[in-house]
Amino acid sequence: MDDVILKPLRPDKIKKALRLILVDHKNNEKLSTKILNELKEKETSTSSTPITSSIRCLVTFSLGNEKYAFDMDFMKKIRWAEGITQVPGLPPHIPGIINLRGEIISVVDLKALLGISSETPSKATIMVTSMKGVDVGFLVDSVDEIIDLPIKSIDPPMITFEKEYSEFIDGETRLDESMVVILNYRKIMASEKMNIHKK
Amino acid sequence: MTPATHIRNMHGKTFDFLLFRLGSFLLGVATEQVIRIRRGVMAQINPGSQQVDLRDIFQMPPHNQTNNSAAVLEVKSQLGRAYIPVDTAEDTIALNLDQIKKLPPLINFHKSHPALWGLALLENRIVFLVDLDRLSTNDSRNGEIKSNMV
Repeated sequence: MDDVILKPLRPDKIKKALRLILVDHKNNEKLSTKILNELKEKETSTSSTPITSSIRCLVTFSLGNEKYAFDMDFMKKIRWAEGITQVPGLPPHIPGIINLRGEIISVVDLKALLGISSETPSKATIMVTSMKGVDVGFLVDSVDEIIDLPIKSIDPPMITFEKEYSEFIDGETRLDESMVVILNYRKIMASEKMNIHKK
Repeated sequence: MTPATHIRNMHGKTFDFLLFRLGSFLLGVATEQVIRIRRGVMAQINPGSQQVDLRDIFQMPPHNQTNNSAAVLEVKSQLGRAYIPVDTAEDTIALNLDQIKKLPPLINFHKSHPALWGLALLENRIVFLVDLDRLSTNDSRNGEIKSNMV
């Protein structure tokens, strides 16, 4: 087999080769931009589909024998109800504060807030929620599951609450043989008993 | 005492507080407001002195048990010289600004008296900070300043 002799390229040929490389690179750029744009369009079209807006993502939890739900949008963390520090002179629905890695968060007893009288289990849970930069922990008996619920399956509330609490309820739905009462987080936060994010 | 509202431009400084217990609560007042700490209960203090009952101000249940560690803080406030009975005078600590926190909005709205202005995070304890100059504030909801004629 003959040896292949590599000759050095003449300067004009080097320029030509470089131009080709640059063109190819530019083509690649165009392709990536094209793909990114297509992905962007795809994302936009998905998020505006009616299916997404007709579903409510909820977190369900227990208060006594009943199941309730909050919108998942406001949920930040879930932790055991330990280390609640009482604050002098607060109403019964605010058992105190917790120190969450240096961040002080108010704790609200959701049963006391909604007028539900049942004993809180020894291993209760705090759902830390957040809205407009204000974090509030809600003390509940247990956190159960996260569900995607079609809005059409939400019915008007059947469970009768006292008038002062009925405004907190968006509706209810049936989930595995049990009823889930869907609470309106914004209205609870703006209520007289909370006085946060008042309209 | 430095008003709580003026504290924001004081990074790097420390603030001395006297810690004391009242029931299950650990409270703190600026040491510059404290003249002296006296052992014993209020009955042993000067007759005619002005008494500040923090239990009443912060809506705590009355303490009826005999307490060997009871103390009375002699303080200066806008009310003049006053005496505060406490369950135990614990310690003085220097707090830096990072340890001092505002009350969360919900607590700030529902607190029983404006004298409760903030809190401090110690290792595993939370101290509630009390501004004695605010004890005489008009919007006191339930607090009461007594002139104790013993």
